[in-house]
Amino acid sequence: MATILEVKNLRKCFNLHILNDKKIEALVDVNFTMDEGEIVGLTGKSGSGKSTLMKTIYRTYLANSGQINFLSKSFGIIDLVSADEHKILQLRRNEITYCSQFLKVIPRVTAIDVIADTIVKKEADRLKAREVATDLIKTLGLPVELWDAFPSTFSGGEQQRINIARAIIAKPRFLLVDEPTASLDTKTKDIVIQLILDLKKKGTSVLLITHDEYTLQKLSDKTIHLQLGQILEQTYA
Amino acid sequence: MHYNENNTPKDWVLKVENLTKIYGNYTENTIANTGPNKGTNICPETGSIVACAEISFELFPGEVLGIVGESGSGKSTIVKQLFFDMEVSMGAAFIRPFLNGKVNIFEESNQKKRFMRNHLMGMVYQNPRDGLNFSFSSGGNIAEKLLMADIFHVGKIRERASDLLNKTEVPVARMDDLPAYFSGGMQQRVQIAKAIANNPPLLFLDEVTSGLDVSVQARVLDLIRSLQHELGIAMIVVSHDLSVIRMLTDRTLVLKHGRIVERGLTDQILQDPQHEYTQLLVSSLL
Amino acid sequence: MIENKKFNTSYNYAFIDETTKKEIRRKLLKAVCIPGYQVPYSSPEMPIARGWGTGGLHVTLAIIGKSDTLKMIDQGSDASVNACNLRDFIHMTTDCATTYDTVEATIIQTRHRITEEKLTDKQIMVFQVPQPEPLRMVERYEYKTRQMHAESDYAKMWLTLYEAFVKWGAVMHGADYPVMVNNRYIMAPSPIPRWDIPNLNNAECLYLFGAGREKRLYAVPPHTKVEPLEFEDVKFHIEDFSDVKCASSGYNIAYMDEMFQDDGVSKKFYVNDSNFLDKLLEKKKVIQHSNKYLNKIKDALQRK
Repeated sequence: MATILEVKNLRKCFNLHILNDKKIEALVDVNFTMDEGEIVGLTGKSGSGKSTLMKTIYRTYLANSGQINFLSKSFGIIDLVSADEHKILQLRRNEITYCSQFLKVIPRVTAIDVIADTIVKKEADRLKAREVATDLIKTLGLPVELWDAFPSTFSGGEQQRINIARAIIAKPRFLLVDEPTASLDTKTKDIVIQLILDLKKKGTSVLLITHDEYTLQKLSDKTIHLQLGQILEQTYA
Repeated sequence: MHYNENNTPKDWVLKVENLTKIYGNYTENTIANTGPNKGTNICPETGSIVACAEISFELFPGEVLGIVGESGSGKSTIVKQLFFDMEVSMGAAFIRPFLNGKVNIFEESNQKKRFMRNHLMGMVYQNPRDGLNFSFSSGGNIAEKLLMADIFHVGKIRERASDLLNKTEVPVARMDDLPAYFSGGMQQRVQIAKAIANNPPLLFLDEVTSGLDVSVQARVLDLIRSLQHELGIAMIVVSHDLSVIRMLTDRTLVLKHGRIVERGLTDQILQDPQHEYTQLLVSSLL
Repeated sequence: MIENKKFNTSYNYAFIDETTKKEIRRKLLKAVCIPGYQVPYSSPEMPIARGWGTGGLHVTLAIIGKSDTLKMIDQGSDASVNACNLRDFIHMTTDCATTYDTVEATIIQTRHRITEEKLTDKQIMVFQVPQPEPLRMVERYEYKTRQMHAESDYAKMWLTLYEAFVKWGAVMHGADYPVMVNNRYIMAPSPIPRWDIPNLNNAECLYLFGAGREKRLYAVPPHTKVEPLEFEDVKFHIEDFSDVKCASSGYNIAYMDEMFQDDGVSKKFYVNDSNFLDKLLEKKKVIQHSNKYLNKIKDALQRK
């Protein structure tokens, strides 16, 4: 299996000018690789740098030094740290999807449309997109009366289900997901886990942050333990 | 325009190099004597005002670029120069659909500039009076854009105008009313309909919602966002409001004292701002 | 050096002094070279007030010679007061021959009509123009209309036609309908009726236009393309008099005058072109213009 992601000597330090140039070291010399079709779990205590690492890979955070070599279909091996914005935008559209810890509410868009929007861009047919979204949201067990409502008033669990649906409906090549099962009950947890395993069968590689031992055990082929911005150890399932 | 792996755009649709606008006489030191490091737009030697300087960027098809900055940062100046509303002091710009992007558009004749304005660009102003002709009906305003784009079929013009008014949620029954009888939000929506009438590859939005009530603003922004999804137009959104930028744009340029102080993906600018000024702006979000 | 005889005799030949005539001729040449383009000129003072035909007069006097034969018509009539006055004035200052007969004339000065009879390549028609700028109704500033012509930016003009159609169901202009000359300039053909517009296209004669008050000259040389502005689905059409007949001659394929009778209700129609009507009544041979719009009307009449 080819290496889809290679992180080399990654360093991220926040420089807060408005707090008198206060510096916060978030990631110190991170190195690891991921193979295609692999599910890698990221764990660590709160503040150890898991979300930071994920966001740096997604380019929401700018790395200070190091490389993130991604094997992309459009550009071959590309270093996400130094790649120009246009390429990153294309990768985000076509290959890499990021699912945040909490749903970033897009105002005045119904639950179904939030999910369907991801593929409307690709398929142009809003009705067809909504059909697929409806199937997915049914699988996730969101009550029917909420489908046409605005997610800003939903509970955490309901919002998270929409968030995950939005990420996986596009069947990305590479999925970054932050705490997918955190606010879910056991039944829904299993459904989400199964959905991610289905994606893996179709060839998606997944980088997953979770606290939950159960999820970790069910999903990850390899687990990376972070502490204070550094990799403590890598364990295998 | 819809994206799939086989359709990824490989090249820019607009490229701007070293765009500069200076009011008054200037010397070779003027640009060096002004800017965010010097904390001023005014050259101490000559008294000239550097509205914007050394602005360079590329815009790819389907991208939305935000330009954010406070008053006097030069953001509207950039877009006005690109739309030929204002003369350029220095710099060049290239548009892919015009002679394959090989020609500096600022050096072209007035006739060619007019062609570019009518066929390749759309502009929505902050004040509807700048973008609409108040002596013609709103349908007529849209018709003007279509006529400028060489469509001379009345039936087709009416159809397209109705279509656009539907898209921008303006009641079609009011197509023959004068814009003076519309509310501010509706005037803006007519302006948007007019701007996209000829399916331009480039759309400029200059502070389109500043001055509108909040609910109206929301509606106009939602409209712009859905149009962008549907039509895939490359857009430049100028705003002083970071929440507008957050809602609409993929990439952002941050301007201060006429220079770009930071550029990057919008989510990166908002969550991991690097420059001091950007950090200040982001922390000032309500 | 051109001898200026202004102070030796009462008036120069054709009233205008030679230097000014030279200037007008040069401007006319420029106008002929750029069909439809309005050339500014000196518009010298005449013993006739502005708005009474000074522009047409300037052109006629600049080009007329002793061997010319002049015909003067005013809305089709040779015998109206103004036509007579202008004709007498020109005859007095040039000693040229004058005529009512369209075929005999070499120069025809006209106010608001083209003759029904076809003109040849030996004839020049001079129009008196009130407002030479077709864009004046949409843009009041001269510098802007000049820019619009220079850059071929005619959207506002088209928009006015569109709005008129949308409001009234028909593009309203009855006279002075804007035309596109040589695919380049929009021109005001002077307030001739729509009936005459197609006869500007691909003509054998030379058309010269003079606007004295506005100080502009323009021209349509022979065999030039002149098309009325029309949309792809809303086309130009001329007046149709096939339902009525001329009360004198019985003819109906000519532009007609509508005359209310003394009872204030009934109407009679007469052929407008007075010389043409005379020839019809004398049963003389006439060669009328032909264009596609006229041909359509003729065909429709034949089928009835």
